[in-house]
Amino acid sequence: MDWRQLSKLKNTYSDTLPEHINPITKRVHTSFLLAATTTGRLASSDPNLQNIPIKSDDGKDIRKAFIAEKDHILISADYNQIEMRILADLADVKELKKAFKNNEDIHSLTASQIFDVDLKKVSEDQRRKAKAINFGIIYGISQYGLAKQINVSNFEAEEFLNAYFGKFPEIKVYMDETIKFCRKSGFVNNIFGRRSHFISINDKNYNVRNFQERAAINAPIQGSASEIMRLAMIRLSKKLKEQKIQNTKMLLQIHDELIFETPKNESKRISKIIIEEMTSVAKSDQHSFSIPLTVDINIGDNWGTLQ
Amino acid sequence: MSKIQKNDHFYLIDGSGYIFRAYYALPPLTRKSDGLPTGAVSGFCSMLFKLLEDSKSDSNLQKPTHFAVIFDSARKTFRNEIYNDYKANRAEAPDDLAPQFEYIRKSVLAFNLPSVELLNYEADDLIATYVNQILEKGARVTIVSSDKDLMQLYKKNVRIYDPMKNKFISEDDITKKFGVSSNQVIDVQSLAGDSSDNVPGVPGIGVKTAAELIKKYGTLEKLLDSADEIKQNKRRQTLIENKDKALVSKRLVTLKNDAPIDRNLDEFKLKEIDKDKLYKFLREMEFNRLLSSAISIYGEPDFLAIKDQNEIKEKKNSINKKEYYLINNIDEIDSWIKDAEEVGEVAVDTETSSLDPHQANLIGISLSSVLGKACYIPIGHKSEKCLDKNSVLKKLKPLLEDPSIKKIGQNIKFDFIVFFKHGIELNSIEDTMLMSYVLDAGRNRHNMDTLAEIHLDHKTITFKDLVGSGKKEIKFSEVNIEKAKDYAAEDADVTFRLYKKFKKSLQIEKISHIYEIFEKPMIKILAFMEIEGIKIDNKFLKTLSLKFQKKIEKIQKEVFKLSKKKFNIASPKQLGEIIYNDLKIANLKKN
Repeated sequence: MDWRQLSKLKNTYSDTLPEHINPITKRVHTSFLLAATTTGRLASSDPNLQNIPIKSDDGKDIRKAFIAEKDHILISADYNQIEMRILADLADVKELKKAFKNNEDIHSLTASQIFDVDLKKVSEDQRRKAKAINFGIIYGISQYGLAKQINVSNFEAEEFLNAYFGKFPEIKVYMDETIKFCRKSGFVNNIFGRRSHFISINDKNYNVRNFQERAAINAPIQGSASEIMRLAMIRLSKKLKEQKIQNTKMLLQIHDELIFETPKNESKRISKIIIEEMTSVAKSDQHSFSIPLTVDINIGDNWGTLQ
Repeated sequence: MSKIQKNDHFYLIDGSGYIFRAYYALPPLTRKSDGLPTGAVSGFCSMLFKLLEDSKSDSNLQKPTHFAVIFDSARKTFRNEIYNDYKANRAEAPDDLAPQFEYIRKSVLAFNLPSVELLNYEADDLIATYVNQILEKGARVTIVSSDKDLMQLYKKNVRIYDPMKNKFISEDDITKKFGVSSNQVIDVQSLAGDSSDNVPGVPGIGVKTAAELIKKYGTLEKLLDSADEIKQNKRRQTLIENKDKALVSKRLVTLKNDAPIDRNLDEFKLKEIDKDKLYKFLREMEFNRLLSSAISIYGEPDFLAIKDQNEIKEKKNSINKKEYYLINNIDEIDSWIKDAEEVGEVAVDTETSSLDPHQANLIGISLSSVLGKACYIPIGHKSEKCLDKNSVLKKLKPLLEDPSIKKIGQNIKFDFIVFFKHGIELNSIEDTMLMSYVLDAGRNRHNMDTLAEIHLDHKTITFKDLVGSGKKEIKFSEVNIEKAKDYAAEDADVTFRLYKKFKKSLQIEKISHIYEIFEKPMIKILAFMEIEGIKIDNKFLKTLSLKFQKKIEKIQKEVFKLSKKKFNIASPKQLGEIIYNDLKIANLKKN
């Protein structure tokens, strides 16, 4: 409901953000929580910056309040479809991997597969539905959830999912294996070996169990994305130090996005370094991805214009 | 105290020289269980082992009675105060070497040998100082080092052994290298400079010319005094122009033989190998080959030594306040620092005036390096017992910044920011919260009270117990200092215990690498991001709030128009009643 979202935005952000301004530095110093999720993802508090709605214009308005200092500019660097890429790698999904390697539109490809139409003839509506399924898979959605999301009957949703798993059988295998492993061991591993525990995975209550199963499917995907971001941040901070770049600062991490502040005339050079370091994480001592990672860069005076 | 005797023979090992040799000469190696780099530690241990056994063998006629391994201080030394750029050309220790320093120091102790270092001084100065003292007692010395800078110490009753060339240095070697005898080495070095240490010297003068000049004039000072007599125009001119540089260089190259050393010579007395200690260390480091060669020389380990039993007892020791100490006098801190240096680990906890580290003032600091023993240093309490904050911080700064001593905290990012705001940058940090997170994400929360209860079966004193709540709540600075001590010391004690426990668990579970690679490096990065902050457009937010308010009112009006009466939309109950009872929209979707 609009009313609820608006009053929440007003209460938690536009009214209260100024209270977080430090009287000496005149800036807002958010606190990043390293140990608040089960997956390895960071959280933040005072203020929580990772909870501002992405899509709504009102959320965008809040972001506009985050600005660069004079003669400076903000750079946003965002991993493109990182979780789909991880799913493709983790579950070894041949079709998806091929598509990422060829830099194809992944949702159109999914649509053409499940609706059995030519890639060029995929309609907007079909693409939207495919996108919802893709994201639904990542978050372990049920056919009922999906039906609600894309406004179709439960029966139709089930058909879509069946078609989906028919075209990407590896994903179904991944989901089943993950749950099986979790039931036995109580935890799941992400690509890098971090564990997320799900202590109620064998709960008697169906709803509890179901909720944990979906979280268990999601954890390796979300967790691996977080690990990639961590490696990128470590690389970037090392690089900036090595190159003695002191006037560019890494300011925020919001899931797949990093925000930097840099002098205006440096933005091109810095953007290049950011892209270089963030994409190079695809190959590390810890894991080599079979598909490339790509990064979208946006530059602007405030965070709102960066999206 | 045993007296030093005339036929005593001291072996002083230049440990720092060995480290770099071990690091660069050997291929990198990592511990299998957790990926810790160990190449330099392994190389160092092999060299030390060989040296120790060779020196004790019957073919050596001058066997050691005393033995010590001496290291550079990790930070800048007094030489940087003389000359800012001293060793400025040296790169920082490589990333995979720095974490090994701690273990190298431990390896020396594992061989039951003293590991010696002193803040602000290089190993060479300590060696020079000890040599001086040993000779005064009439005993003899063997210096083990390949560093040419130690050649100035060559004299009667002092031998220098070059482990790289496997030979003793002779007066001939020194003359070959410097063109003068050992007592003039310093003067030649001052003139010629040293590019590897960034000692300036006099431009254009190399070792050969320097030796020629020193031979003619005797000392550097005499040469500088008579510089106008020199025939060659250019040489005369540079000597006169660079007089200061030469004198500064002399101060740089001259080893200090009166460093304020804190170890007695008789502490260096060679002790027998403690098999259990040595084998335990080698096993932990996973140096299997070294372990088997050690066993072949020293014999099988004694079954369940007394020490292990002690350790078992220690583990069972429950948490109590018996060994929590309040620091009443600033000098009492010294022994706690020494403990930390010896152990190489110290749990640190800060008590502050605020939960916001960016605005928090330090009220007190607690430390623990020995299981069950902890201290509390009060610096911001409203009490006479409080110590002077600046002096305490000055005293702790070297320890807190020392990269070879681990600082263990529970959510140490907070303490990092607090210390940073007080001019101290914590180095080499560990975090029990993150260790727990890597081990048990999803199983339990990772705050100290929870962790103490789960892992140590102990209920900690809570913050609320201390400051009360509601109207009676007081500030931490107003808490009775004895009570604050029990609370803060317990935090450090618990943190240290958790650390020991988690470290083992991470290894057993084979997930140390997650902690080392994905958690630890993030602490500082995030701390600096938080310290940096981001600018907010206050004016814009005010207009935004107004805009939102208008929108909200507009929706409200529409809702009330539908419901035909006013109610509190924020209340789900009232909203529900309106929707189901008044409007009869039973199947309305939630948004």
